[in-house]
Amino acid sequence: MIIIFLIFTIISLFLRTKESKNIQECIPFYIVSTISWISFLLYLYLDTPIYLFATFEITTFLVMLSVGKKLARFFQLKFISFFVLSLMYIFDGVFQQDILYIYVLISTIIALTSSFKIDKKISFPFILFNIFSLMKARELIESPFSVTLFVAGIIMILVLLAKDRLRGLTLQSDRIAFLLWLGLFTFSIDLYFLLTGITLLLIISIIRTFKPKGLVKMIDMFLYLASLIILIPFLKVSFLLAVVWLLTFSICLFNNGRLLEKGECHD
Amino acid sequence: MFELILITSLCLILIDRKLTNKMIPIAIRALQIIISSYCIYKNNMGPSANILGSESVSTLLFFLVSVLFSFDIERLKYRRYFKELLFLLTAIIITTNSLPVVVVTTLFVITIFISKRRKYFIDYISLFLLSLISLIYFSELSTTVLTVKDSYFLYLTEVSEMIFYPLIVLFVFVEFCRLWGMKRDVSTILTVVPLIFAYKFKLANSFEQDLSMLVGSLYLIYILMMARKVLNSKSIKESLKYLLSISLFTSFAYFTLGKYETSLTFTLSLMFIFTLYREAMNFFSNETEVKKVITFFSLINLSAIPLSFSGLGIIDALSLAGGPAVFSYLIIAMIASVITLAFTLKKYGDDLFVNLLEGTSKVKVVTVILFITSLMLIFSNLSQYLANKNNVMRLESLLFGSQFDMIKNTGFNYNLIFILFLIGVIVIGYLVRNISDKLSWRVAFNFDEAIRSISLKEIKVKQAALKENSVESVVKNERSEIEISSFKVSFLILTTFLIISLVIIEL
Repeated sequence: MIIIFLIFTIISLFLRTKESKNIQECIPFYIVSTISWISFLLYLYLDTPIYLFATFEITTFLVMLSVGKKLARFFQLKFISFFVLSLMYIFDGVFQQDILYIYVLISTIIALTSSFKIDKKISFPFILFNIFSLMKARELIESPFSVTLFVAGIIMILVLLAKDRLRGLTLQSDRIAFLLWLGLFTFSIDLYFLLTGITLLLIISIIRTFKPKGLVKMIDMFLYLASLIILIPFLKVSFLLAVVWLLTFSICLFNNGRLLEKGECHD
Repeated sequence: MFELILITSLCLILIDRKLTNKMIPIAIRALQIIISSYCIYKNNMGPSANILGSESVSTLLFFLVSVLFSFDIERLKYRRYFKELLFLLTAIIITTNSLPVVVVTTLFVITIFISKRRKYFIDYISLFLLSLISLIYFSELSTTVLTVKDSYFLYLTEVSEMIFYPLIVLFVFVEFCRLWGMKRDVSTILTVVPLIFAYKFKLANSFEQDLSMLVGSLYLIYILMMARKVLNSKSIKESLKYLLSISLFTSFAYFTLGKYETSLTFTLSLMFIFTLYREAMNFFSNETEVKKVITFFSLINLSAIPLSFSGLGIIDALSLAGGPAVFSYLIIAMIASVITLAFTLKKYGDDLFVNLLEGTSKVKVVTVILFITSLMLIFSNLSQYLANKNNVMRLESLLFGSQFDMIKNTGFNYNLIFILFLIGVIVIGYLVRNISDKLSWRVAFNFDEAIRSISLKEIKVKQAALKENSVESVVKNERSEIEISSFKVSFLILTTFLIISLVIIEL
């Protein structure tokens, strides 16, 4: 897994450096990448949950306070998540896993929605760091409540897609990527599929941040393939919903392909 | 083996931009095929083949299929690395014995074709079916320990047991259907890969004959819908494609009867004829007489008249078919094929006329070669009712090593069908010859109208818009129609499914 992250870091560094004429523009990007790699290594060598938690929080605050934008929103969400964590002591450890799950959920929302000043592309190393934290948390948290939440999320996405007249996945790709992350986090997936899923999600986020020329049109296809991997364990939860999900996505792919052929790409 | 293919492909991609000679890619492809055939012959395929679960396949099968595929790949207008990727993937599909690898590679092939071709809705239906199949397969497999070398299949839930095999049949059917639209080319890869896919899954087959009713009628509807376009066709190539589709119906019938090997062999032979036609038409593009001979040869071999290759195949399938459903479908397909051939010959008969005795030596040589080829095709696919024990389905037993037990049958069934069909062909030929052009045109027009009245109203709207308005308004109309129609259909499906799933979750 660490090799995949290494490869994607190198690719992102390469893309960022190639894009800018002056290397001084890239320095914040390099710094955030370095910070995220330091915390990866800390994750690898620390094993008590409280230290992992501390590493995650310190890194998030460090990045957000140094280069983050819209800090008010960040603090709102952060304090909600701390409030949820404090519930753990009120309930005296009864709903421990569920509360931790909600905490992870809010952290994921923060990771995906945060924006940065100076350089918008910093979001990629931040997302990379968050995916790694998610994979680390995956070993610790197991909540039965999560599957129900995932089902609700799927239904919401389907309704949103229908509201958009099934035009394409690109408009909703934020939310779908979020859902797919949660899927990777929630279900127990076989190792090969887990690695493939992480690779696909990272490809999606690299396309979304850097927008390389040839691949922008392919983002729907990648979303489709990533959702296939999430659906493998989900099929045991609800066969019908999985079928509907696939059907909707393939119709969306078709509509989007037709639109692209006519040269009407809307981002 | 795969390492060698990979390295040579990489070299080809690297030098591709500087290439001016068209022969070099072909030579490298030939080298790849020969080397990998040798590797398979020596049964020494190397480490990556072991990882991918490749085991000994027949050398001839690999050689034949990969040659057909590489002709197809070179014709596509993709970039070089997509072509090389396709070749590698198809080589993996042919050789491997492990089901997960087959599923994943087929998914890749279909995805590449989808993202590169002009988009039709049926492409996405086939993608949906294939992804559903792979989903069920992997989710069944994930409860057991996942190893790459698995070639067994387990059904763990009732739903998947019920759905799985019908899904595979439907997938093959949809793939056969999406080969053509008259605007797009027939692709050998898309015809053969689904059949190989189904062949590898043959152990998953839990019930054989129940589906032929449903899928056969679907295919028949499809063929009749196609007939409408053929009646208005203006070139001989379209009727050739139509004849090919009817002949593929035979291999589909074999497939639903559970004879996967026969079906594959039959399809390969058909594709061989079609590829020969296509490549020869390109190769002899300046010589009209040779082209005429080639067209005539492929028309005869693809149509279901008795004593041609595909006609003998369809008679064999008829005498094997147990139930009345497949029987009647095949007979209708046969009649459609013969009528198409007769009309084509009547319409374009003057264009196809060649005086062989006064032709050039090239024409004579080509004719003799094609005659021998069609004889060889017939000989290598002789049915068990016709041949002695050693010669039954020679090609199939060479490709798959399958053994045939001679049924103690006098062949009465076969002979009766043969004679009746011979008489039928003569009668139809006589009728078509004597029918006046006016009457035939009127019948064709009525048939066209009848089918058009059944099909969706939006087509009518589209055509009316095309006639009346200028180009710009037509474009606008089309856009709005596509949005509305796809939205309507998909939204209806979606809402029903949503309601049902919500109810299930609530329960």
